[in-house]
Amino acid sequence: MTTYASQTDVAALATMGTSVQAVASAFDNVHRVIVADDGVFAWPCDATLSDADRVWAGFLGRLADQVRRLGAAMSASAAAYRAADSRSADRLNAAGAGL
Amino acid sequence: MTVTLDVVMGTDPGRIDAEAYAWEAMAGALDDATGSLIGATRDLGTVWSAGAAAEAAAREATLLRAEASNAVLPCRAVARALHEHAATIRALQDTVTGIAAEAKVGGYRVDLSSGVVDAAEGVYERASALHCMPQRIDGYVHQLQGIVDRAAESDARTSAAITAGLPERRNGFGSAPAATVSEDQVRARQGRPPAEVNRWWLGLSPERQDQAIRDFPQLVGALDGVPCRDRDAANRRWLSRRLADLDAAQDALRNRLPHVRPRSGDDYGLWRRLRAIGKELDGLAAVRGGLERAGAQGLLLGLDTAGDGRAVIAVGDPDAATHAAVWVPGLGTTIGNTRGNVERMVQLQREASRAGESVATVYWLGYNAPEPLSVAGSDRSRAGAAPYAAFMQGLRATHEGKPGHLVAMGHSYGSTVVGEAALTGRLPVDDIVTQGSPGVHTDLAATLTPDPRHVWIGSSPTDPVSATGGPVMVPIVGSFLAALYDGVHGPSPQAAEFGANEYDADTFFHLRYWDPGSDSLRNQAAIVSGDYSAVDLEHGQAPPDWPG
Repeated sequence: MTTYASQTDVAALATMGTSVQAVASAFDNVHRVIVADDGVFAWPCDATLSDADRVWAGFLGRLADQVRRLGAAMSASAAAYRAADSRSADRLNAAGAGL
Repeated sequence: MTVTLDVVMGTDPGRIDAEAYAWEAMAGALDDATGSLIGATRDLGTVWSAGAAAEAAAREATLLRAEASNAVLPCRAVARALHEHAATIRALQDTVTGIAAEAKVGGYRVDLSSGVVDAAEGVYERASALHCMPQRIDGYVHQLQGIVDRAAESDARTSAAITAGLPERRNGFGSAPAATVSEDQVRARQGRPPAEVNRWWLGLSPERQDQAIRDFPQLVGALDGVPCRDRDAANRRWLSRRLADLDAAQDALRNRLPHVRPRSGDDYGLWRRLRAIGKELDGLAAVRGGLERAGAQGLLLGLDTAGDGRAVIAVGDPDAATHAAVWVPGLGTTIGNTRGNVERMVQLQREASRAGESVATVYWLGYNAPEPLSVAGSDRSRAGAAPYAAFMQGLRATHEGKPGHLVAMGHSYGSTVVGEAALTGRLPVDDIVTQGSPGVHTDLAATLTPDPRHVWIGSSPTDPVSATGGPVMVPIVGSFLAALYDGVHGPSPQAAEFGANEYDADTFFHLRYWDPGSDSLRNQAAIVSGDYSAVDLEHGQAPPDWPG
């Protein structure tokens, strides 16, 4: 991991992870623009539309979850790189003190 | 539910339209979220380049971008199907009403619930009517049945479109990337009707739109019919790229200068190129200054550094605003004056938004404004009319939701450009407003717009360009300006015979119509926000407040 960490802009990755998680919230909000109606508009295809509304809500929810997971994974990786770096530093410091 | 005449007549197409707008808004929100996802993950490969985790993240980001991107168009298709359905039902209802009215004249009654047609008593008393009665009744019944059939077809079509727009449970609409947009495809849209350009642009997935903006920013930024926020992204990208290119070119030339023999001819060429680069950099700096003045609300809708330059900057988003005013400047305007002119639009937008209205104002230098020696001619206004009309048609095409209130504005020679554009009959605006106009190439307001109450003229009593008092009150400059124009662009539009409204413009001379706190600014703001009854008029008659 340390090798990969050296090739990674950890701070940028952490920021990117946070941004992607914020984008997930934007996906959460996409479906909210469809305001729950008080009933059908007295037309046959409205039933189809109500079904479509439910399917789209499910799809957008899944998309938001996936985006959120991606952002979380990026943030977690950045944190892991930092922790690994910190552990290496501790070990090196300890080794230096023992010399 | 079966479609019957009762269903056709009992349906409110407005509610179907409302559903359509909601789906349109959902498509817009999905588009925005996808754009954010694309932007947030674009540099992932650079930031996190090695290792299995990085590869997995890059793969997942690519799939998610494509999946989200591929969902926008089906969502928008549902909205379009619903709009078409609403329009069909509205038209069919009108037809039924027409049939019933026609039948009534002939002495027949149409029951709009059941579709039953029978004759009123008077028909039985007329032998001639009695003779053709069965035929007439059959005719009406047949027409009504045809309408029910067409309504049922529209219903089936709409249902099919909604079903076709359903995402798959596991992978939505798939994650296969769409074909990239080529330069030829973008160039093919230049000069096309903005509504057509808009359809093409909305037919691209967000990923493809993003790619077109990245690869061809100057072309996309100039296309009328591309939504304002996308034009802004393209033009800002081109601005940054151009500044970087010019800086690099300037450095390279400066580094060469010490190695060139003085008075060899080569040094002259280098200095000349450096001067051209410096001029272009100054122009771009002025545009950046204008954008800074517009602040967070600023959108760069047009940019070109050729000649005197072109710059179009909005204060507020015209696509989202209820009211949008697009202002054309006049004599001597170049890209170098951008900041001061944007300041005027900032003042106007602020004043017009005061009552909570949603307003965008646009500074439009999309034409080659005249210099003192060409201001008396009509070449520049004629050349500016077509791009101005196309820009306004673009705003009509890109406006979100219900059609907004669109206002054309022109100052000085800019009003002549507006007049020329209106005279083509292709300027799709609700109001025309001038400040300090030397004439608009017509002697009647009614030739500019069907209702001349929507033409508003502002003329300061001390303005030598538009008022006769100027040369007296401002002796030297006033006389010069008055002589320059002197009726060459038609009679003064503020004259009562012109037939427009003249609003009170209390500011001094020719250049201060937007002074904060002035009646001139307040009156213009009232027109822009559709609050016509609040306008102080010198003469004329205000129409009912917008939307009327």
